[in-house]
Formats: sequence, structure tokens, C-alpha cells
Amino acid sequence: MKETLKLVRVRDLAKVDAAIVSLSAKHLADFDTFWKSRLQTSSEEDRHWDWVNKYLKLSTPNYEKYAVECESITQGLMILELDCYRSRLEPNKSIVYLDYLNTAPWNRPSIQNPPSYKGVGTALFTLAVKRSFALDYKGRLCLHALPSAEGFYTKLKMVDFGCDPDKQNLKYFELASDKAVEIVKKL
Amino acid sequence: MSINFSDEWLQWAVELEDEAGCDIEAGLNVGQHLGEYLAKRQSYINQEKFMTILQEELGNLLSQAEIEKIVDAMQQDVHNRIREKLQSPEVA
Repeated sequence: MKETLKLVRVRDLAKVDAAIVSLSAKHLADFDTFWKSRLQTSSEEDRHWDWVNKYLKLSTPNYEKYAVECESITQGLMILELDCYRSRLEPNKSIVYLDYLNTAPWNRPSIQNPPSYKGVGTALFTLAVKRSFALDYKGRLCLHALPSAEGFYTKLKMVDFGCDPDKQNLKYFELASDKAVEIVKKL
Repeated sequence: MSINFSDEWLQWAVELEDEAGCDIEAGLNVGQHLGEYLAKRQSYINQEKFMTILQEELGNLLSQAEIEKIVDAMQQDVHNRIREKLQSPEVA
């Protein structure tokens, strides 16, 4: 799997080649080598990790995992869960669940401002929407957002269902089909 | 699936990210545990490990293509069985 695209390199505003590929050991190695030292440990993180460890025991294998590569380094990572969730907006309809999405520390304004590359997170999100269409889910997509990222999903006009006590009180957002159509029209 | 990430898309993406002005992330904050998290997700059924075992045990009897076919069939079977068990999943 390989989808090519351009990102904007902020330091010179150049459009640089990038690709979305399936997650491999190289990306995990990049995380250890380049990402990890720039991530601060927090009590919230440990709390979430304790929860994840329990949750993983119940997990299914039905995941797709992607990475964005640019200039030989992993710039973003995403995990999608494809057919274990149902929509709240359209009950009983299948929906893609965006299980995990993150960009490299140097692409996060909260860690480095301005970030090194722009377009990484939006590219992964757009791919998730396209996967939903490919599965005949009509673009339906849902996720739980950390407070620091809620603004992005609000800008995309996702429906905010409020805090979810089953997911560490993160807010649950859903993308309706008509909004998904607007996103793929940008391609 | 092929996606045409056009120049217009990139312009939209940059404007969107500038206007949002925040990190783009979803799911729990696993921070420095991310590598472990991804590895665990990856290893639910470790295809490479399974293939290595088959090669060690049956490599003198089966070709690489035959072993890959067995692994693919096993993955599909597991996937289908779990889907059946999840016919009435809870709402996210």
C-alpha cells in the first residue's frame, strides 16, 4: 500500500514528497529513535496506558495501520478499526473507528511552533474517510479526541457527542456522510 | 484504493491546520508508550512469526508460496470468526 502526496515544509514553504504506507518495523524504530525523547511523560499518559493495557486484551485483529513518511522519517501514525463499531448518527450503520492518530512531536504546535511539516494529520484523516467510502460506509467515521485536538474536529464539522465515560472521558466525535463528501471533494 | 492528493487539497489542509491551531491526534494519550502500543496492535496475530514457525517446521516439505497461502488463509479465518462473534457490537 502506498499513497503519494505532498506536504508543506514550513521552514522554506516548499512542497515536499511524502507517502502514506502500511505500518512497518521501520516506523516503530523511528518512534524509538526520533519521537520518544521529545515526548514528555505525564500522569494522564500513565492513566491512559493502564486502561489501554486492559483494553488490548479485548481487542480484535481487525485493524489497519498506516504511517506517513517524508524525507525518510516517520511523520505521523494512524490505526483504523474497520467493522466493530456502529454509528450513533445513523444507528446500526457500520462506521470506521479512528482508533489512534498522531503526528511526530515536531509536527505538533503544542511541542514545536511552528511545526516542521503541515498536512500530515489531515492526510491521515482524509485517508480514513476514503477507507470508509471504499468499505461502502459512505464516509462515516468516528473517534475519541484528546482535549488538545478537539478544535481540529470541530473545524471539520464533526458532531460532538460529549464526554464518553467508557473511554476515559474523552469526547466522542462522529463525521456524518454529507460532511465526509465535502472532505473528499477537496481532493 | 488510489487517492489523488492534489495541490488544492494541500492548500485546504494547510489552511485547516492553521485555523485549528492545535495538535492533530485521536485516541488515548499513550505518549511514550506508543511504540509498545503499536507493537501490541501489530502482534495480535504476528504473521511473520507464524510464517517463521511454518518455515522451520515444514520448510523442507512446503514452498514459500504454499506457506504464505496457509498464513493468509489462517488470517482470513480468524478475521471471519471474530466478525461472526461481533455481530451485535456495542455502540462506540
